[in-house]
Amino acid sequence: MEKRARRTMLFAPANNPKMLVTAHLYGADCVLFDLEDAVKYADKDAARDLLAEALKTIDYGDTEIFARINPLSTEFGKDDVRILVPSGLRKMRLAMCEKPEHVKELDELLTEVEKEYGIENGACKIQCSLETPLAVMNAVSIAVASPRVISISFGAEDFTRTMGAERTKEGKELFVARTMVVMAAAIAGIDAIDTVWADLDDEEGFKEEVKSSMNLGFAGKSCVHPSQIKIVHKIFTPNKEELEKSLEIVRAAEAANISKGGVITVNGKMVDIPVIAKAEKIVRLAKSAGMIK
Amino acid sequence: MVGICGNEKDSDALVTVNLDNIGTEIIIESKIKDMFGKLMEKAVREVLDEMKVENAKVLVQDFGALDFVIKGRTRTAVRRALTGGMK
Amino acid sequence: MEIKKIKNKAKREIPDYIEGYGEVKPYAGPFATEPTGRKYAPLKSFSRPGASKILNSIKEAIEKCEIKDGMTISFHHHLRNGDYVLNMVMDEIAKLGIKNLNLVCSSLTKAHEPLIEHIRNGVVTGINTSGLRGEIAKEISKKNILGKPVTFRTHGGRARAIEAGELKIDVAFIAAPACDKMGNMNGAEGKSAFGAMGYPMVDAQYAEKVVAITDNLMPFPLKRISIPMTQIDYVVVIESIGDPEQIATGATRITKNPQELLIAEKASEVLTASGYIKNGFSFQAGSGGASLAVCKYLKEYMQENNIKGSFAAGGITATMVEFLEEGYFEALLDTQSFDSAAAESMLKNPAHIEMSASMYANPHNKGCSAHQLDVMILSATEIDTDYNINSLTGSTGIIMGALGGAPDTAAGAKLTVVVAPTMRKRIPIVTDRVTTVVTPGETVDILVTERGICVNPKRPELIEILTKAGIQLKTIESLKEEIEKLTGVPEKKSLSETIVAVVEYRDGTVIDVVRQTK
Repeated sequence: MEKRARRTMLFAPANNPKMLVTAHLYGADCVLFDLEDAVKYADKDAARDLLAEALKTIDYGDTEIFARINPLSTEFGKDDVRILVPSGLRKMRLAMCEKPEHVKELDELLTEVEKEYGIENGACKIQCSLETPLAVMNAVSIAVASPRVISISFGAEDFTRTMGAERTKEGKELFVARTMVVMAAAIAGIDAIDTVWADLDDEEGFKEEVKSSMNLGFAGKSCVHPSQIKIVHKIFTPNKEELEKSLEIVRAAEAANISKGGVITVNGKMVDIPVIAKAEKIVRLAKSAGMIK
Repeated sequence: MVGICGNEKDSDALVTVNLDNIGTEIIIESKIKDMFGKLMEKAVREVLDEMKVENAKVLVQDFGALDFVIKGRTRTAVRRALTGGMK
Repeated sequence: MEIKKIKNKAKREIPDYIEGYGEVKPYAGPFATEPTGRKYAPLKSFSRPGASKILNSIKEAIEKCEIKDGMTISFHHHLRNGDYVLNMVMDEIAKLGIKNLNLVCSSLTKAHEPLIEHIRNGVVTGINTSGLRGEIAKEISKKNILGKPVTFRTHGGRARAIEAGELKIDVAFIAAPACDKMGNMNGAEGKSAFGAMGYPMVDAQYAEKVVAITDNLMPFPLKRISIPMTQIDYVVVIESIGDPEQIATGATRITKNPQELLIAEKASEVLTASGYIKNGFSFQAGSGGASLAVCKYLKEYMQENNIKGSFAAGGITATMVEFLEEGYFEALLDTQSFDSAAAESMLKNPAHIEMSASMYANPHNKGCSAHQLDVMILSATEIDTDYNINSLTGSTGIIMGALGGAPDTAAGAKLTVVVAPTMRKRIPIVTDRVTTVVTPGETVDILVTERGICVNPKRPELIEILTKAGIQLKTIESLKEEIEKLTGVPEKKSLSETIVAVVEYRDGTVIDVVRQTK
């Protein structure tokens, strides 16, 4: 699965006609059209049909499009998949994913739908949203439950509520959960996306959180407003020095033709696969930030 | 049987589908009917054809919706009418 | 008489003679006209010591000025939607049974709807203005109630026409928030203050008779004089010249709308890449949401790079005042203050300089601020693939806007950037042919929308600079196609042959006409 930058994932309610045509214009790497929490029960069918039509007719360019489908345990989840995948949806966030069985259930449904509509087997991908203590404890098994899983995201609101914890700006109460999610993603070789920051008036607090997300190893952040995108991208943009070093490493690795293991030397320093992977990530981020072609 | 879907909001449309009809009848109410009325009607017709609905009276109250919105709302309105909508 | 059709340089077909307007000089390019002859001047006058100019009523002023059928009278629109004066004067004129008046207004606002009755009753048979909106505009567009074409002029064009004697004003009525007994006046003091008095400064110099109408008679001599007593015949004192709430609108805030901010951010990137933003540069922006928001991003860039501009002009708003007070620009040149912050600033900041509409934008004088501009930011209701802009009519052909100073500043500025959303409701902003040409494409350089940036092919050096700076460009044709994929191509209604308005370019040539809707 080709790796691409997922620094920002902009939320947009799927039942909002304006957002369906404009969400991808704000420069976010990904857009998540929400059929779950942002849509009332009475509107679930309308949101689904509207998103289906949008997927059929709108060219979203390079922006990666996700839809947050309703859990398969609800009356809506299966219809979300059955209607949206044939309409062009290839990436979905599975809300309230707590066990690998949830992933397998969706995996099987996707295989069925792909077959029915002549879509390449495995074309549909899943991003698992971990929102409860159980989900976080199961993070590794969820992350490896299917080759369709391309990333896992952490949702703090439901998590803290279930924990009985208080959500604070410093986020100490989320530290362990966040780390576990990042670890699980690293083990599975996929991306981890951090939770949303809802206080649009506190830009400083937001910047602090994004910095700490990045330092922990998250690949990106879910955003609730276009104004957050630029801020996240700036923080996730490597500095020139880092970039130069990374480019050297990537070039050396390509020249040495390393694929599965081994060590090379760059500028007198030992460089192994994890370091190469990090360098590749930095180059990818730099490309997304427009620093290099 | 009647199904309604949509909102009276900017860029949206409120579509009312009544399946107790003979043949198809499409009524468009819009401030920009002169400019886009024909395209709006075509959008509704395409959905009715896809869903194989031959008898329906469709009222589209448009508030600047693009075609995909009209289609989405029509589709849901038809579904709602079919699954025992309102009398 | 055989009427020929001419195709002007904006590719519009115009008859060479229009009933109710006269002979047509076709638009031939932004600087094609070099005027000859002398400027117009009113008759000489004289004053005697001790004579009083104060009159007790508007009615008296009308009688003293001997207003007769067929005369030309003028008004300004600095009081915005809060103006009482135009309606009061017209009501008195109507009561006196005077008819067939030709109005020369700097513009008309929602406050002036009562004119519809006066038009129907034959009191008003000619209108010259920069803009028309609301019901009057609809009545003229749909029913041609005036019976003869309205003449639209830009702010610069109006000043030019008055100075050249093409518009000979018999009586100018000037609403003055502060005035002394001899007629010295300003627009910045008093309960009805609005700020700069750019438009009537011209009227006062060239009209035969000038009547000041004030609700704030101040002791002689007024300390701050925008229009001097040497030009004023009478002073009428009334209770109130306007509604303060509609005049002194609060400071115009920068939009929070994400789409407008996105457009503004993109525009700002274009500006900084263009190379025009450097020490000593000059700037003007329209008052629309995205235009003003450009200032916010521009400020950030100027701060990061220690850039100080020479002047900002306008159309001055609170945002511009901030620019001045925080040291980003050396001076402001103000012909019209858009909000109370601007009005207040004019009083207290010496570098906030008032200027007449002639100094602002008249192409036929010895220098105007529009010709000194480096950067101009405009908005548009429609733009076509030749970059012509329409800010006057909607896509159905109905008049609903104004020329303003856009054609003046677009011609004068080194870089003219249009900021606009790609669609308003479902109506695409890019069309193959604008309904009415207001600002000709040859004076427009760049279009910035939320879906793409387009550069006029007439500026290949700009294409090169922006591309080098990494800015992605699209052709305006491909942007149009992209938009139409979403909106569909709108059907255009045909219009009747009857001309309801003539659109003059700044130099008095005709750039387009507006036809009656069917």
